[in-house]
Amino acid sequence: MSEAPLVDMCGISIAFGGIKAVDNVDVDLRHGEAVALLGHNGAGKSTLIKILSGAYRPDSGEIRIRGEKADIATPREAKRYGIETIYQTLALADNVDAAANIFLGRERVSRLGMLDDASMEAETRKVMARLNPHFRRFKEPVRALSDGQRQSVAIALAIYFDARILIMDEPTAALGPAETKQLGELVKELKKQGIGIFLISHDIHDVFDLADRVAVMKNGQLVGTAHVRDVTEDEVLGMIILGKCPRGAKPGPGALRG
Amino acid sequence: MRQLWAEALVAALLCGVVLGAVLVANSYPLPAGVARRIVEAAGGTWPQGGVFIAHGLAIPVLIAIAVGVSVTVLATQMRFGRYVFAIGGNPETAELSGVNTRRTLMLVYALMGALVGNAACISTARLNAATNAAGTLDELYVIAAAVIGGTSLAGGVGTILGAMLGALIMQSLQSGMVLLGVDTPLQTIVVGLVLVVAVWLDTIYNKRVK
Ligand SMILES: Nc1ncnc2c1ncn2[C@@H]1O[C@H](COP(=O)(O)OP(=O)(O)OP(=O)(O)O)[C@@H](O)[C@H]1O
Ligand SMILES: [Mg+2]
Repeated sequence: MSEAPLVDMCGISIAFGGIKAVDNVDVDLRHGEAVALLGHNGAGKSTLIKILSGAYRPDSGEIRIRGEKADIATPREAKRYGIETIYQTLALADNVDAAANIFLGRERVSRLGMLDDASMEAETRKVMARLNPHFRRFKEPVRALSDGQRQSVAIALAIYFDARILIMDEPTAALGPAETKQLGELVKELKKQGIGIFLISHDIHDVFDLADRVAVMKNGQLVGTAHVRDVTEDEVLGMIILGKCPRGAKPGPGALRG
Repeated sequence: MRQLWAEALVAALLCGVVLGAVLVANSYPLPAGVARRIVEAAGGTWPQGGVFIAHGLAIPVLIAIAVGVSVTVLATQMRFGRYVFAIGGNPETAELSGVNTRRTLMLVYALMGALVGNAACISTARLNAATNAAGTLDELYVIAAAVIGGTSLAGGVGTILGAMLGALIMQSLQSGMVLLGVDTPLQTIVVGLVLVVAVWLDTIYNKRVK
């Protein structure tokens, strides 16, 4: 354990009104590792990763990136740390096309400050060819696309800019089997390049296939973390539903006592 | 990319349109009174049959064209315009994508202020008088013009050319009513009705694309 983790989130808490959406959670992520965040609906998974991606500021807690304290106040600053996010709600601007969405906030411009739409579209075609080879509707506003196609655009948006830390909030919810498989290959490839991935998914099979570790949340608290090789799928389900921490896992403050 | 000959044809046609417009504008004479003042100011005497001085293009029209072209470039070819459309489509997304939405919105209002200032100068020059009530209720015409021109009140949709055509329609409507001698209160009612219908059509259209 000489090398500092890529991301280290310590004692993160945030409350919305009276609800403690995230309560004193510790998770870390190493280079080339995928950590799956699991939990029931409303457990606080999306809120936790939105803190890392700069959408929310935590009430307390500290984020360290490569061992150094990071102050992430806006999505812009998160991107500066190489954090890219696929949001569960697929944050896309519906009224513009795929290329405009992918390059939003980071448009390519010519020397005169004019948008270089031709080159942005060419890059979009390249990155979409890896994710969804059948995709053809590059000129249309994304509102006209199917949910799966929109999801592909959201994924393209996150992987295009050389992320060091990739956050995927239910990236396969709308994808067909072929596209899901493609995303699985992509995750493995990105891990080989040393990119750290936070993956949120409700599909335990996918999680055991793609992730190295799982972190389970319940009512905003961390039930525990475990290497996937140390626990069974049933034990992980027990963590999610009952909050029971099995022998192979490291219990957190939210674990059932007794 | 279009073929070269097609580009040449389009360019030739556009030149023809511009030349034609200038020719038409110049074949009208200035009104006798104005022409007479010009002649006398130049030290000449006003002849019996009058003098033909070409009317020419009105400077406000030239300003409108220049503003239309530059704002269209701003809206479609520059980052700023892309951000404005993205914020109109989904402000939350734009923020999450790293667009500085507060700064962009501030710039939008600043741009609007500058354009309104421009319009105020023209209107003051035309009336040759400045009143503190100049432009009152013009916002009604402006909103109606934009909506008729295809700007969505829900945000994120619209073009500058559309808004300018909308303005042309609204102004024609108003001038027509003045020529017909329609009472001022009735004029306002008609404009309000046009606005209501345009907004109604806009909501119907929005429902269908959703
Ligand atoms: N912006 C907000 N304002 C108020 N409450 C919020 C807000 N965002 C989330 N919450 C609350 O925080 C809790 C955690 O929500 P979160 O979206 O993180 O859940 P989740 O684990 O991602 O669930 P899911 O599996 O359904 O995506 C929920 O009780 C939710 O109602
Ligand atoms: Mg969620």
